[in-house]
Amino acid sequence: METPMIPSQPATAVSEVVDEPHRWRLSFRRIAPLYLLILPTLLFLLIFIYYPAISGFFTSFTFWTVKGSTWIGWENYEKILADKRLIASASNLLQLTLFNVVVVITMPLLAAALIFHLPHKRVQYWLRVVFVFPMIVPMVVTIMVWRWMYSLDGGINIMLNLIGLSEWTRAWLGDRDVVLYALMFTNFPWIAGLNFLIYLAGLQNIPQELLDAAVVDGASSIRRFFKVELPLIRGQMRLLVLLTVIYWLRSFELPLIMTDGGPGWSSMVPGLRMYHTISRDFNLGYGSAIGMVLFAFVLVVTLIQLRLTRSGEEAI
Amino acid sequence: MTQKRFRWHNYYLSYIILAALAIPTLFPIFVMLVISMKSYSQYAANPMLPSFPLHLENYQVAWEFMSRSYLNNIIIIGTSTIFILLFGSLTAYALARYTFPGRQLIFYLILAVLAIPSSVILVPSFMLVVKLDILNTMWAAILPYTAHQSLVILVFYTFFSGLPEEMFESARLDGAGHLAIYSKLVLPLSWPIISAMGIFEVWLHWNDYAWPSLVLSNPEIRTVALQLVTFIDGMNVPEPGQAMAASVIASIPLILLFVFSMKTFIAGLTSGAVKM
Repeated sequence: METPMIPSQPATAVSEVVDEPHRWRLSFRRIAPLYLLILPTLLFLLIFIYYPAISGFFTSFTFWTVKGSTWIGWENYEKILADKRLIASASNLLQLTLFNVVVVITMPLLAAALIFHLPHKRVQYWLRVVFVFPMIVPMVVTIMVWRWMYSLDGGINIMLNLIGLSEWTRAWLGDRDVVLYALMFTNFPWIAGLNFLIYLAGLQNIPQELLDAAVVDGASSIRRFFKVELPLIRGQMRLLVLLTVIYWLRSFELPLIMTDGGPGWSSMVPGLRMYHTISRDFNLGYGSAIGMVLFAFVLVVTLIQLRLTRSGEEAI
Repeated sequence: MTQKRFRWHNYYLSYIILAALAIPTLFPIFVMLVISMKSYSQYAANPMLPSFPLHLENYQVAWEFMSRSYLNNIIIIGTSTIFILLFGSLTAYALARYTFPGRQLIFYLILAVLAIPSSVILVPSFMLVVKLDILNTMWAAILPYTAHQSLVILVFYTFFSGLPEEMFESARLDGAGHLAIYSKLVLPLSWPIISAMGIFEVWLHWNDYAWPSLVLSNPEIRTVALQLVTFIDGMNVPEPGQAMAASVIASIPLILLFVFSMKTFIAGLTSGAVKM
């Protein structure tokens, strides 16, 4: 895997801009058109990102209706804290996130490490294709196929019947007690895609001398993995954990397409509740408040990520 | 001697584990393809293994329903991707090669957006779309998509900064203006990275579901992802074979893109999604 196209972290980019002496001092005639080049980007940013972000902040303090909005102070936020079902949905989100964090530090790494040490380049190549390929299938399609797997006459139940566990069969997405686990189990064995590629790239960046030295010292392969390779890809691991947390904080498409939060609220997550404030009850002030809370969480995780990646620059 | 058993040159164990991981990874795709070519009675008799004759008319039924949304995707994703690449590369060129008043501020404004995922401003973005009176038009997807170009700008910025200054200097001495430098010098040199980011944007938006489902409810302008869910969850419940055929149809463009440009594809996704 080559990785030259990965951008440097924003932290570096910023300090570059701040510290670097002026590259090219130019006359006004040369500089003025530059603003024109930037103008479209800037307009789009201000209108479609900064304006909604700011107006969302204000809307979150209002009771919003089509006819107009009334300022109600912190009431929407108090409602969030008092909404037991929403708190329960936050607990669903926490469970989904924790599960996926555990998965991301194990399964893709296992596959990447095994493939990295295979002796045959061609086998390596093809296995890489196998594990990358499902990433190319659109997410909606993957979720739809998994929905079929979980259905009453779907793949999981067929296989359970086949191995004589008929009493375990059920409508996996219709059962309050298991629906969350079904969401977690989706995409088993959770390797396909980017996480796997990032680990593999990390392993391939380890200097060969280090690996050779460990072999000469007589370290077993398991020992070498934990003592040499694992410490050297800690940066990737940290990055992937944070990306996973951010991903789950902001995404709700898996429950949206698979169960729409149901049955009842048993697979609801806060982001999906926010979506429903538009698609179901048109309670946009409340929806904006949920968005702001999610935003606060994403911001905290992003700041942690910036701090960590600054120290582990070469990590990816 | 006992240690030897665990050495990596005993690869059998590796191969067994990798096979155990690869089979379930590909299984859903396999099942999708198999079922997509089954008639209803074939599906009822034997849902998961191939059965003959193949029933390709499933694809005909599914295509009839999906074809219109293909065109919508081409318009929506095509337009926004071109906007993103064009505006993004122009901005990155200005930021990477020149110093001018306000440059830092603009740079921070662009970078800060990376901390604002589009889904957390879902509700106010929806209100904006209503206010602009573009709800249920393709602009409701194209314009917000175009606004999210910070990542692309960052990638371009890094690349453009690495180009040697002498080239730019001699071009300027020859009297070339910004647009000439941009189109004759920057674009040809950075074609690989531009196409990588283009593929990334296509992938990203082909996968999007939540936003289009809110703003593109008119059947005429639905995206492929929306149309697929509408087809499967619709009033006339399709046969399993037809549902899977529609799923295959929804996947084909990205798969073709992948097959024909695997290296660029992977480079684009790695550089893009890591910072998403």
